[in-house]
Amino acid sequence: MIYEVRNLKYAYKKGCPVLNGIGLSIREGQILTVLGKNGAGKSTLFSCLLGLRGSYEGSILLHGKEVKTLKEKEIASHVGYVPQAGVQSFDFTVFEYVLMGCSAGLGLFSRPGKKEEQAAEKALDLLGIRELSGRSIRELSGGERQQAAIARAIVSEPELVIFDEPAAHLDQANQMQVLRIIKNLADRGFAAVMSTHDPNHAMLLGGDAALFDNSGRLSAGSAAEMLTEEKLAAVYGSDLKVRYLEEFDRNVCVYPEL
Amino acid sequence: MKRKILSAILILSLLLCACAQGREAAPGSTGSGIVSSSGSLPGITDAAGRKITVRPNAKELTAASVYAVSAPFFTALGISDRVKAVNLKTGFWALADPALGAADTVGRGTVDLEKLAEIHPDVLIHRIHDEKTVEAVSRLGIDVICIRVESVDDVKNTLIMLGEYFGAQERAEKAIDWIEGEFRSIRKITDTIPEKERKTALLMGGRIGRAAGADMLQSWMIETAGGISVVKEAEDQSWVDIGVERIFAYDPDVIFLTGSTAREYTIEELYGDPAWSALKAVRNRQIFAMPAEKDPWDLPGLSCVTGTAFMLRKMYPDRFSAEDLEDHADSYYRFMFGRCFDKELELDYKSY
Amino acid sequence: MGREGSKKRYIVVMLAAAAVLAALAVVSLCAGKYSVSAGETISILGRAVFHKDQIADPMKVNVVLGLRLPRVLASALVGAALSLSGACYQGIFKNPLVSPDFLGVSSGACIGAALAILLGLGAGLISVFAFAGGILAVLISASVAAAMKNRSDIVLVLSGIIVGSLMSSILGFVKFAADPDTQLASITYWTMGSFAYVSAKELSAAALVIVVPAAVLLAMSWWIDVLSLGEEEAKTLGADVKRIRALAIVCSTLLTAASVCLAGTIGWVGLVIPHLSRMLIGAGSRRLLPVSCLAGASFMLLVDTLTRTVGAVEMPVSIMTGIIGAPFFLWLLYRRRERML
Repeated sequence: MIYEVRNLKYAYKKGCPVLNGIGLSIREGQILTVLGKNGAGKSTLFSCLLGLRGSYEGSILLHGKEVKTLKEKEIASHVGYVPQAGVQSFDFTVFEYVLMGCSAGLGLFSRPGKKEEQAAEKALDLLGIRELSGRSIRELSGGERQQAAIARAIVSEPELVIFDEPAAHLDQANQMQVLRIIKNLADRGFAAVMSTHDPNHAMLLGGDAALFDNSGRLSAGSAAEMLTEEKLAAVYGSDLKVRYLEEFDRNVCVYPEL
Repeated sequence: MKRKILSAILILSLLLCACAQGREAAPGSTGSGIVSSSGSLPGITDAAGRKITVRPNAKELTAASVYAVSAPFFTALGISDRVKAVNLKTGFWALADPALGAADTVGRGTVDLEKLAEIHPDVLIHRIHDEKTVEAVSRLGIDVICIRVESVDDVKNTLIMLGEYFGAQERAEKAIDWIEGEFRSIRKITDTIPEKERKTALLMGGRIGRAAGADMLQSWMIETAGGISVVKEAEDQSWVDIGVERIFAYDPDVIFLTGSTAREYTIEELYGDPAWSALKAVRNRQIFAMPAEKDPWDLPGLSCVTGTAFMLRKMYPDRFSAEDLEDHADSYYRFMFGRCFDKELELDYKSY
Repeated sequence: MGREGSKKRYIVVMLAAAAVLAALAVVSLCAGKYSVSAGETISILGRAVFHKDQIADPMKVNVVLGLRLPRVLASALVGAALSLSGACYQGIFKNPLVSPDFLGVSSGACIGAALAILLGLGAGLISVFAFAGGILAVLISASVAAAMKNRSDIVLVLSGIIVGSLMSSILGFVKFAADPDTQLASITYWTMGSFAYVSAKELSAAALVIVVPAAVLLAMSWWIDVLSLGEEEAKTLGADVKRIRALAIVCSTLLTAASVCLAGTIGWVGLVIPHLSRMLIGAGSRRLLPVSCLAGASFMLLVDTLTRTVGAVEMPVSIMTGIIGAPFFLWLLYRRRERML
């Protein structure tokens, strides 16, 4: 077990809980898609898992230790994180950017050496973006930047990678590529937790799914169990339909009309 | 963590303090004069309390200065031809003392060290409270004498000190005799003024509300001219911003204005300001600017003699005629430059 | 460009910067209103290094060793310190438009110095007051931010702006109260900067305060990059953000405060040089910081040499850095306009 979350509560403002008694466990090698509407609490849950919110109630155990009490390094050495694409202030090269993923293993006055550089090259190769390594991070397209961020998250070979809306702001082709990468990583033994507001992503990935309702609660189970029309409609509205496509042997989620 | 960082800052600051204080010059006594260290060469102590050796070739030593106050002393001591660089505030000095006019300049207020090295004088005459310059000039192997001229005693001490350094003791003594003679004749008149006729006065500086402090030469001049200097505030012989309201509270009979070119207002502005019409000095038209067109009479130096005579004339016109003032002014110019300038320079002091 | 290529480029840039710095130092030692030929200068320096008796005119020796050498060393030191501190501040606050004095160091130091001048204190105490004033201003900025109970950088930047403008009002008041003939000139020296009077003792005191934090910053350069990604992202990469940021701010502040103590406030260097260096070598701090140091030292040396050779009267350093820095910065921005957001 990597994470064990029990009765987690978190509120930015008193009286408006974003997370309202969440229970969740994340195992080695698991793929988990966290679904929910915008603002349902997906990012907040992730930031709690990553130790960015110290004032949560309940407990989040990372390998049996309360996240609140852990140092940044201890969390980072177990968990890689792919943030939502933000604005970069400086023109780091892709290589430098990816190299930053091995910071958790470095002391305050040390810097990456041969070993870390080899790890970064390996991560770049894994994602097939070695040719980008000398480019500026600010010159990349959305898809390329997402790939660089994923490479950075896996450099230190964590057990788990958390993806915050990795498909947001990407076109269809890039969305699929990112999902393929995630699937690939899972096949290589990484556990992957990803948030999205599109149930189709979860249906494509399979594995497990967790669904935020609209009052800060989360229910989790296997994708097949969770991605039913009844459960999805409760969150996304009653006109959402789940249909089986025989041709591809899988479910899809559609809205029949506007 | 925070505490650690704070203490680190503290320790570093203290270290710096220690470094800095190690090189702090001992303030010493500020009284200047002549000292003779046992056996070795005679020396002088300047206004910053620093000891400077008097050299055997005193009569050949050359000087430079960026401090405008030093110019009259060069003239008074008759050493203008040994001055290599000077900061003259008005064109008058260049005309009145052609040797000074011909001298170079090494900056105004601050010293251009490279230029100073190039003209290579033996000594720099400078103001007090500027250790950086003193230290840097000393590195060039050039002497520095700091002078302070905030009282008549300062004027005399400066004359003695520079006279000693430049081998012009005789001329220094003559200048002091002349100053004392002038003030004796002024006192002869002011001693006859009965207490109840004495006028109150103050001298306002470059900015409205800024007055000469009680311990400044300018306030001493008012008292010596038979007036009562009303300003009680004193700030280490410096101008004091007492504010307009204090001036209104003092409501002096006479207000003198500095002759400095840095003055930001005119007499007409004061007379024209309705608020100021409540003042006695405004109602009676008793505001006077110190003469400064060519040669400022209220700046620290030997001209404080003529400045005092001017105040006497303005406060007690019945006791001190225009001719009396003219005599004093003539005496000053004759002593300094060996001639008068009323005609050739249109220096109209006879009508003051 | 491959990584090997960029490593090569780094070595080339560092060597070139060092060569430029050395050349400028020699030129600066020979240049000035007082003329000493290059040969004489080198002979004077050589004899001083090997403790041989000087044969040149004593005034030449005094000018070269007493005036110019401390000046050259001081301007290189201050240029390096300000550029390093600027590059670090920009990284920590992930804002390339931040300069080393934005938390109020310089204005605080000026007030400290001006106050000491007003009190008639000696040169040593003026430096101490300046140093303390600079540190105090940063502490005030930091505690204003802490009082807001908001740890984000923008609050710190805003409180820096608030403290900075408060400081400049106080400075205005101190100037108002100063004697225009004597004290104002000394205060101007602090607000506009000058290397003219730097002495060997002041230089060594400042060097002590500069070298340690500079070494710390160079050693932790990797984490400055990590911090520049933003607080939360840096944390997820394993950065102890609070500690790293505090240490980097303290070190950068010490650098700036010590520089102000030595030579007064000097603008533009800490803003322009990191930008220029980023253009030369890229954004990675491991290479950026050393390049910034060398480039800053060269720039300052060039500026100081110009201030004392151009024009009849020596110019304050800040005027010259402004005259060179502002158009240069404009050009940099123009070149990178498509990437500005």
